[in-house]
Amino acid sequence: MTRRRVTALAAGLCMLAVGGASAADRYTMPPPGYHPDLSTDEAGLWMQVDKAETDIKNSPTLVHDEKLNTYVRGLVCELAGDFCPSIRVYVVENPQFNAFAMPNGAVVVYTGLLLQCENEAQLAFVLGHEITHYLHRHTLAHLRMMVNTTGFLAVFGLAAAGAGVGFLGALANGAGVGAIFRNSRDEERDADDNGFRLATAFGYEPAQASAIWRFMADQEGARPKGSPSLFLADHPQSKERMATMEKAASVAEPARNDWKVNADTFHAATAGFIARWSEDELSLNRPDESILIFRRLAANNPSEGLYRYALGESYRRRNGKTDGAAAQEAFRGALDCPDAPAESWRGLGLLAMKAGDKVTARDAFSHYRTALPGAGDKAMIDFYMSQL
Amino acid sequence: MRHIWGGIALCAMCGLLAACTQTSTKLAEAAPITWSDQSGKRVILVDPDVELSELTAGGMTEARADWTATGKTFIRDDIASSLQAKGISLVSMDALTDRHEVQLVKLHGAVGLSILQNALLNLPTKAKKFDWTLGPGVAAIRDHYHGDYALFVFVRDSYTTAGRALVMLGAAMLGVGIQGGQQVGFASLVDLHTGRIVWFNRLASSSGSLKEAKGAQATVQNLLNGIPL
Repeated sequence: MTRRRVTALAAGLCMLAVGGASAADRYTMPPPGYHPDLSTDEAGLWMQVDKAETDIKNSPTLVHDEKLNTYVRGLVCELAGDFCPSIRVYVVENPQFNAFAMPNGAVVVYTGLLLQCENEAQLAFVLGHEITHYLHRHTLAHLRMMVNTTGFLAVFGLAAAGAGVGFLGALANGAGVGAIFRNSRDEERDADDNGFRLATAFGYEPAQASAIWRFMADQEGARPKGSPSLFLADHPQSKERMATMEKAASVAEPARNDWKVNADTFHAATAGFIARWSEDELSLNRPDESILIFRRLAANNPSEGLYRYALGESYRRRNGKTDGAAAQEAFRGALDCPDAPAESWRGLGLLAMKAGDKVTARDAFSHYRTALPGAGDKAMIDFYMSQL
Repeated sequence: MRHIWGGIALCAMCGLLAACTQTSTKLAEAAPITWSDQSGKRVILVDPDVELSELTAGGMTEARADWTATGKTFIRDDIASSLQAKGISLVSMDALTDRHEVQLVKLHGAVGLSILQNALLNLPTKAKKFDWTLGPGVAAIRDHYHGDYALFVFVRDSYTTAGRALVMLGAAMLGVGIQGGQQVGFASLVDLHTGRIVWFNRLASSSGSLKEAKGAQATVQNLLNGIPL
């Protein structure tokens, strides 16, 4: 093993570690109506995601409500401009805070995102981010990067093993994994930056972009230690993204003084779904995060009664030392609101029953039965009443 | 996603094979083939889940849309002519839009995966029994397309790129065997009256090509090996 060969291998390793500069420009989507040539890797990619899109189209979780779809599609179209006809929008009932764009132009918006946004501007920044993934063909860029990196590693590993320095191959594998993750993070930053440009170009208030990442950072902080982050290593940290967006906002802000957030249009489009989407969030069984979400929404949005009820349920289900009192306060707060769901009475009844306060429990359950005579859990409540 | 795992399971089963083709046929007991109308034997072909891809130097599979389109056409045509020879007409299912039919195809994916897993690692309660079923809900397909049986086909076919071949050669020189392109898949026949899977065949091969007529014929022949029609 000559010294020169080791040097050559080490040089290869360095190339991998520092290489892979963002090639976003090279991958800009050709004009609308584009279909990749059938013999290309891109066509293969589209073929695979076409299947995934068909699955979504046929999924029972697809939300068919026409008004909601028209609203979300309208927003996507506004941001995508000329590319609007190339994009299909799917609203999917899933409580996670997420949206994604497929390389073939399918954009999927989860209802968890719609529940947790406070206004149209926040939604627009997320959609702008996703549309950028499509417009800059990030999936294709990433696929090519993976093929090149794994190919390089296979050859490099063999060369290293052949030269008797197999450990260099292992080292290269580590660098390769790092390069792949770095590439993902670069794509996310590009999507953040361009999404910000798209949304602000339509007059959406710049400060709303960082607000989203502040919520995310808060929620990550609320997660019990050791539980994995949804974004793992391929996304930059929420705090970093928040800071970047704050900086961008401070630059963009002075450009005009008529920035819009469109809170009213947003709430009008989503109000009819809040009860259902709140139940979906509760079903995730992550009360620490649910508490943060509903506390924030109750403070900032209409539909306050619904959020307060859901907040009460989050506390009641977490069932920590002081959670009973917090839940009670939330349920009572909900009942002060005009849109209080009758289930708030049920919550109060269950809390009182647990505390051994039979009188309050009876009273609360009676209210619940009167307000919702055909409730699905009527038999259960009747049984509780018979035990009190 | 389930199909992907099915593919992985198949790959594992095939193991490190040198140019070989293996098929493994399972036949349900006490499930004789019966036609409701002898003069009009019809089998419904569910849109074959086929994907042809390139195996890159680093071992990734890159799907090829053009090859897949060709391969799928060959598979369809060859199955049709193979059944035609037995006096059976093959009816292709339309693109799935009916919700119930979508669920049936997904259910078949799940049951098919269980069959593959059971072939690897026998469930103690299942043992060697081959009594899998999708249940009587399959009647929806029978009523829609008027056939007594449905045929499901899944194939993943990968081709060694020049880069991969070089890596394989280099590795071989170091005494290490590295997997090249391969063909894995399965086919199953479902009784549309009872929902039972009456026949199931898996295929694993390190040779064969769905890109050309002759290779496709051989693959379909292997895929339909032992079909009790």
